[in-house]
Amino acid sequence: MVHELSLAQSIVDVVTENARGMGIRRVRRVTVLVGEWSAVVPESLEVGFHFLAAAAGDLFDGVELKVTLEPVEGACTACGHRFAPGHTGLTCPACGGVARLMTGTALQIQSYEGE
Amino acid sequence: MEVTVVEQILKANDALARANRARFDAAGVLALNFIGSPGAGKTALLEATVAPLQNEYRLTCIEGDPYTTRDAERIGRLGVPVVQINTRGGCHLDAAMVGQALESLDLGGADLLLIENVGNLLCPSQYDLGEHLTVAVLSVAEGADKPDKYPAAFQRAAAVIVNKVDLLGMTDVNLEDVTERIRALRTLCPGFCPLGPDGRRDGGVGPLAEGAGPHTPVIRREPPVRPALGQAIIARRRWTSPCV
Repeated sequence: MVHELSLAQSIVDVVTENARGMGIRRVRRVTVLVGEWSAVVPESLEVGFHFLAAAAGDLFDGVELKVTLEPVEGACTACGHRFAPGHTGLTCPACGGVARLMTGTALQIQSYEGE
Repeated sequence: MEVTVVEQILKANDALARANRARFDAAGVLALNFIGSPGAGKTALLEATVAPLQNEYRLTCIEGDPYTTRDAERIGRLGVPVVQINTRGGCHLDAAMVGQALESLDLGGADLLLIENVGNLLCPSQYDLGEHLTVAVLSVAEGADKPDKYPAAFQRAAAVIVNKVDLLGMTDVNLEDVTERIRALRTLCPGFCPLGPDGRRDGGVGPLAEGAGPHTPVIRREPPVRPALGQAIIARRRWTSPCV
């Protein structure tokens, strides 16, 4: 775990800035979307987040990080078939066409719950 | 109270990357980001790239490594202005590091910026440095399964260079298999052109953005960014190596 820590820092920073602007004093839960092809280990992200959140002070006291995994999905540009890329990567299993990656690389903060 | 904040986790990095890109564009510099495993031959590829290009283009370089200035010394010996970034254990370059390195480089006096990322196939695929094109380097000694194991790195790349093909006989790697794995993944990349020169002996990055020369691209579409300089380099270089 090295780069998860910097991602966790970014989550803490973004939520801190937003919460201050909203006058929120305590953040209970942060929800993030992490793609299966985003090269991020959710467990490491959680560990890093809790470590940094604790260091950030009272705002994150008792906070929970909810990681939603975004599955990888390709959509064939020829026949429109949607599929989860397996051993053939993004070559369409139905027609052999070229597929575009539709989902699976997200690294996004979606929401947080605070009071 | 539920607050919706749809923000990219790498928001800060992305903003800094855009700033870097704006600087490159303002200076008319084409920036390339080289990613690959430790020992894939990235530095050797850069050395091979520098020699044939530096008579025509003004090159400059940023080297990224956890420790040591060895790579910067190698590139510096070729007469290329170079800055070494030591991440002190960090697993990738980020846009802030590159922005800082730019302070020590004369972008106005350069046409092409070669950025060598930290040897790693995971994290560098997530961090935009502001480059125009990413080039992935894969040596055959690493095995044919790397594109499957590290899809994000190969998906990000505008070109994949299969390196150290002279070692093929010492491995159980089948070049067609490697190529097929790359092709299968890279169907999602709009700028794909297959490349296969041995970077150490003949290589360089010349044909990376288009299938000019002796090879036939699998998918011939416009790369996402194709600055004029990129075209010029591609047009002027001659490639004798067989393309994978």
